[in-house]
Amino acid sequence: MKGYFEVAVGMAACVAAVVVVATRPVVAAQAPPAAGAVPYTPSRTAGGQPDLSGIWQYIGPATFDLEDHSPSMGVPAGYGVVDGGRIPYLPAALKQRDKNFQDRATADPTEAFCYRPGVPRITLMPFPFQILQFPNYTEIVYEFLGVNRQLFFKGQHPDPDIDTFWMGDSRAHWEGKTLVVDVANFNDETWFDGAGNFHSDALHVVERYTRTSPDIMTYEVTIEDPKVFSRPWKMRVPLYRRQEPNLRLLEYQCHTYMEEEAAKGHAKLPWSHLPLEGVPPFEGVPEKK
Amino acid sequence: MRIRSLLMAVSTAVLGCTLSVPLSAHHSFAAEFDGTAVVTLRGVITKIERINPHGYIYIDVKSPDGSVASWAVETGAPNALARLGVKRDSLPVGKEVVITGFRAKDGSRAINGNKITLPDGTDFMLGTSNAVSPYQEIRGDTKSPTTKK
Amino acid sequence: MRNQYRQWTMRILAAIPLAFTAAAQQTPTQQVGQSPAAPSGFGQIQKAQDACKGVAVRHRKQHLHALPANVIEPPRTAEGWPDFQGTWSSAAYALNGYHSIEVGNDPSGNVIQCEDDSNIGSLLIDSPTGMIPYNPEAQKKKMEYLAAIYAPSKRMDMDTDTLCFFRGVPHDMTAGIFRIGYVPGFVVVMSQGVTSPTRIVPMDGRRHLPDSIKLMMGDSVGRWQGNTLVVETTNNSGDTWFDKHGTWHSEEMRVTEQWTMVDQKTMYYQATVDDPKVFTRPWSLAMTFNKMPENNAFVTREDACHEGERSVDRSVRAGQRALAAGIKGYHIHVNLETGKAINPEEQKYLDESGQPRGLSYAPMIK
Repeated sequence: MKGYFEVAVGMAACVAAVVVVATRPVVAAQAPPAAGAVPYTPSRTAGGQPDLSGIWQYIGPATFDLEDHSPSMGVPAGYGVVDGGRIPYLPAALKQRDKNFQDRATADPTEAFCYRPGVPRITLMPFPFQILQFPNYTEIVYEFLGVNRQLFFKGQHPDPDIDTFWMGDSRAHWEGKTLVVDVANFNDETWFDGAGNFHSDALHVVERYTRTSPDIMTYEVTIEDPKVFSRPWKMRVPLYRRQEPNLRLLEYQCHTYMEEEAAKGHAKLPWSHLPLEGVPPFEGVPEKK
Repeated sequence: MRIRSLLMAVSTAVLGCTLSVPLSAHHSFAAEFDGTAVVTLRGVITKIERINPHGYIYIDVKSPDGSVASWAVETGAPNALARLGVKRDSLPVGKEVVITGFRAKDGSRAINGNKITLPDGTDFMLGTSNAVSPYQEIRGDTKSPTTKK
Repeated sequence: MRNQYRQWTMRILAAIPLAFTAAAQQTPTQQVGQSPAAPSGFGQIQKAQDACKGVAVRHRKQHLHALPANVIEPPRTAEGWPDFQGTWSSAAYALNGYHSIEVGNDPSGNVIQCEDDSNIGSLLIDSPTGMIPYNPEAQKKKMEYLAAIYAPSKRMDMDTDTLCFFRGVPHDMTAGIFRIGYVPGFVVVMSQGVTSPTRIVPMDGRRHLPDSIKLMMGDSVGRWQGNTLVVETTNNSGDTWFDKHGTWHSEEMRVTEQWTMVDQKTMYYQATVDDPKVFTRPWSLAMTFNKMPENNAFVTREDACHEGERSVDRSVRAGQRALAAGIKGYHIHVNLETGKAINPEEQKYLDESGQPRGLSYAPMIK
């Protein structure tokens, strides 16, 4: 799991050249302007939708911590990506977040357990993803764990009393050139980042994808969860089009690698020692008759 | 002939609706549970996990000598449970229930749940794969699985 | 060859996950409830007729062993690609193809192959024995994997699907339904299940990845050959199996898939696998996919296999207990017609009635 930052730096170097050329200089080292303020008109797909297709990736430290933070071992310093600076936790929830932060090395569901990161964390992982556009849904395939999201243009969220998902259920529509994705039916298992920022199963997320230049897409996310936050809040980051020719998504199946390392005795598997109620340790040789 | 084609139409619809079966069969029942070791547990529900691909119900079972042991009951996934009428708040935490199922082969206090009976006498199947065949799941056959000879 | 193959398709084959003790005894189990008096644990071979009563679904009309002589000229997209887009079902194979693509299935492992007009004993089309042509060393390793599955002593003994690993090609095509979609430059194959991730196949004739990048799903590059979609997959890691049956391969494996529409509702799929380190020759499997109506909208349901995985530890502990009690895991295939083990050397594991000898699991202790 430690290679992320090194990989991200490599990516940044690759993208930076094009970004400098293709964009106007940004005055403040903050997120790009809000969607709609930049008059860029993307081309259209054959089906008539604004063309978001291609391989994209986020670059930045938000995957470690969405809020402003100092550098620490393995974690680059970061300007926060949260509007208003701090995530507006309810008091009890803030205590839980701080506890999560203390325990993050062993408690982070994605970094420690290789569990799906939920939304929007999946977008922030330092791995590319590919947007594929079809008439009835947009599909996003992520290199990280091969996560696959279908953003449906039709239908409703299913009943949350029946279905909850790590990646939620996504229903999308277009608002001009912006793809708006309403995500619900989350379980309460994921974190937003590596700093313990979390949510309940009441989480509701709205993503907005807007291309603001040939190689940059603004990703703006509204998050609400009345069980955890005192009000909805927003975050915003740029997504960069990967520039290498003939790029393709590769793989990152961390749990497979960890199982293989554990089999060689090089690692312990955190999911193999989760307390399962009522399961005693292996008791030894049973009596032969 | 007409009946056969109706059956085909019906079964195609059933197949279309239940294509989650392969997903729930990632692991083998037989490797984990004993299809002939039927267990009946009476206990109080302490926790419910509605997760994919299998959920869990945890119950505290009191022995005749008064000691309490915690058991894990494997259930189907939330949407399989929903088809059987079990939704998020259907099962009463804190209440005593009776659950039948198949004992785990490793000797641990875990069963593959077959049926749960609530205090008011209503019961639900627990939507898991069983010892015999996932064809029963496809058919929507939620009667007690049998070990046919 | 075809006649021989027909014989195989007429048979109903079952396999017994078999664990046995040196002393073939029955130990009554003590548990909280009452169990019906059963002479042995799992491993009972179901009578074919009984098992097949449960099959209510006739999946499709035919299972093709070769591309038919007459196929349609498929409709074409604006870009000139034969239009394969839509939802296709390989659900007919879901309960055998993904367990074992070779001859034989495992009733206690929840798979049984019933005889109907579309029976498939084996997905292989160029193997008179219905078995993958492993070289002797590789075959030994496969049998070791099989034995380990049925009495695992460590997590990695479990089959790759149970461990939630990617299936690789062509295993990912053998179960469930999938959707083919086109975007400019790519054929996209989206399957159900996290072990069969979405494949984004470039059609621009690009070179494969460098040899030192190995992926479980390999690296697929596609092209059109007339009306056939040909996909070559290289850069395969050695981590995947073709099914749940210990059917392993090395990093030298290469796969060529060919997809051809037979008619508007039928697709013939053939995959040729080569791995000179492991097989004595290349071999091929075939499947027939059926088009599903578009209003039967294909939705990938989240398959949180790894997140929800709780069974491996218990299965491993059960296997360890079995091994500690002197019980070995074994898995043999039985021809239900004759009641005999397909491999004559394994006949000794069956008693006179054709049932596995002895206990099939470790006795329970209170």
